[in-house]
Amino acid sequence: MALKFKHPGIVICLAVLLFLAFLAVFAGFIAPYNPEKADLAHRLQYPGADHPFGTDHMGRDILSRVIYGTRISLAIGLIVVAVSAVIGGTMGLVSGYFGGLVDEVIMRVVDAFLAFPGTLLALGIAGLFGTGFVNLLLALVVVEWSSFARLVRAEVLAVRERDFIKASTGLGAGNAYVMVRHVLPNVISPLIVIATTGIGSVILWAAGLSFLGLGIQPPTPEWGYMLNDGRLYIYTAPYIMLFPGLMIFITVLAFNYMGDGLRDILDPRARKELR
Amino acid sequence: MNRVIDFLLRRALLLVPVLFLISVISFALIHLTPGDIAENAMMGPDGPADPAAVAEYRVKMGLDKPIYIQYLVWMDKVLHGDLGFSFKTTDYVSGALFRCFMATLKLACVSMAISLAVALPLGVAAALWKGSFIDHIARILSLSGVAMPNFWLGYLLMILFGVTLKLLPTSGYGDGGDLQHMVLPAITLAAGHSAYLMRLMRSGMIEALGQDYVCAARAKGLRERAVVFRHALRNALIPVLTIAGLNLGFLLNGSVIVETVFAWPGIGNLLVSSIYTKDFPMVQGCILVIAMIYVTVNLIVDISYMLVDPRIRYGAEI
Repeated sequence: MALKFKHPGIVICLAVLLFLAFLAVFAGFIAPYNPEKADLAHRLQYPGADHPFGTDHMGRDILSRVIYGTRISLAIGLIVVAVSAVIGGTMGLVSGYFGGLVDEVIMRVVDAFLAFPGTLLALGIAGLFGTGFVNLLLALVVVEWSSFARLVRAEVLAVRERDFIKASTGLGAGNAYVMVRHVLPNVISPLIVIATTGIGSVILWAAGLSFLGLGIQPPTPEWGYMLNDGRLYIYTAPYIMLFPGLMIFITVLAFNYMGDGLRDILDPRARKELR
Repeated sequence: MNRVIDFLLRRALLLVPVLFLISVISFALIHLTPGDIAENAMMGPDGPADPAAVAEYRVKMGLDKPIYIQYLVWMDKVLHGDLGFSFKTTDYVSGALFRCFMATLKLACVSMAISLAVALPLGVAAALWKGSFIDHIARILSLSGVAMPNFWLGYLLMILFGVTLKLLPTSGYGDGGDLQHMVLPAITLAAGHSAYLMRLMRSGMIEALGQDYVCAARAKGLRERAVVFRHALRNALIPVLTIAGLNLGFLLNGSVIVETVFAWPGIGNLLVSSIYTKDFPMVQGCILVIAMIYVTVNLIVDISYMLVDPRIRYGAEI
C-alpha cells in the first residue's frame, strides 16, 4: 500500500477510470432513458427531478446520453491507441533492432508524419473520405502511430547493446526470438506510459472532430457532438453544454494524470520535469 | 562548428521529404474524394451539370491527363503562387487564404501574449517554491489546461461573459477584428498553450537553479532576489521564449476549432467551412499552406533552440 501514500492522485484517477469503465459497460442498466429516443413534448427542459441533466433540443435525456457517450469515447481511445501501439511499436522495434538502411527509411517516414500537423491530417481524412466511426479511427491512427514508433525505437536502441541480448544471440537465438523475448519486455513500460497519456489525447481529438461534425454522426450519443448540438441553444438552454464537456475534461484529465503517475512509478530515472 | 553546420544541413534536408509528402497529400486529397472532380466542380444548386459541359471542363482543367502529369502541372502552378479558384465563390484561393491568414495571425499574437503573461510568472513561482501549495496549483492548472477541450472552454466563456454578463460579444469578427471580439477566442486559444509554456518555464527554472553559476552567485553573497532574477531567470528564459515566440504551429493547430467556435474568419475556420461545402480547391490550399507554415516554423524552432542552447545534443538524435 506504499502506492497509496506516495501517489494519492493515481488512486483517485484509477477510481475515476474504473467508474467510467463501469458506466460504459453497464450503460444499458444505468441510463434512465433511451439515449436516442426523441420526446419533443419535453424538449429543452432544465435539469430537474425527471431529467437530472435536463433534455436537449429533441427532448432526449442528457444524463442518458452522457452515460452512453462514455462507451464510444472509451472505445475510440482504446482501439486507436492499441492499433497505433501495435503498428508504431512494430515499426520502432524493427527500426531500432536492425538499424542501418531499414532504420533510415522507417525513421524518415516517421519524421515526415511527425512533422505533418496532426489536426490537418485528421481533418483531411475525416472531412474528405467521409465521416463515421471507421474513418474517425483511421484518421486518428494515422496521426498517432508515428510517436509510438519514435519512442519504441529510442528504447530499443538503448536495450540492444546490453549484454543479455548479446548472450542470447551468442547462444544462437534468432532475431525474431530475441526481439520478442528479450527486447520487447524491456520497452513495454515506457510504452504503457505513453499509451495511457495517448488514450487521453485521442479521446480529446475524437471529441473535437465530432464537435466539428466530422466524426461520430448522430443519433449516436457522443460527447463532442452533443456540444455541437448545444451551440445553437446557448441563449435559451446553456446547461446542454455543461455535462458533455465536463465528461470529456474529467476523462482526459484522468488518463493524462494516470500517465504522469505511471511514469513516476515505472521509470524512476525519467525526469518528468523535462517534458 | 562543423557539427553545427552538419546538424543544420541534416535538419534542413529533412524538410525535403516532408514538403514532398505535404504536396502529395494535398494533391491526392482532391483526387481521392468520392465522385468525379469535374462533376463536383460543375455541381450547381439544381444538381449535376450537363455531361457535355462536364467533359469540356475536364479537358479545360487537364483532368483527362495521366495523374503524374496533373501533379507536375499543379506543382508548377503552386510554385508560381497559383492555387486555383474556389468551387463555390470563384475567388482566387490564394487571395482568400491570405485574408484569412492575417486574421489568424492577429488572434495568434494576442493569444501568445496572454499565454506568456500567465505562464511565465506561474512557472517561475512553481519552480522557486517547488512542492509548495503554489506548485500544486500550477500543476493542476497545467494538467487542466492540457485536458480542457478548447471547444468546451470557448462556449463556457461565451455563456458566462457573452450571454449571462453581456460584457463581451459572443462571436464574430466585429469591426476588422477589434479587441472586444478578440478577448474570448484569444483566451480560449491561450489555455492549452500556456499550460505547456508553464511546464517548460518551471522545468527550465528548476534546472537553472541547480546550476553551478547560481551556486557561485549565492556563494559570493548576492541577495536571493538578484540570484533568482538576474542569474537563474535570465538563463532559463531564453529557451522558453524561443519556443514560445516561434510556436505558431501549436496555435495554428488549435485555431481550427477555436475559430469555428467563435466564427473568427481565420484560416482554420476557412478550412472547416470549405470541408462542409466540399470546396476542394480551397481545402487543398488551406492544408498546403497551414502544413507548410507548420513545418517551416518547426524547423526554425529546432534550429534556434539548438543555437540558443548548445547543450542540446545535436547530431546524436534528430
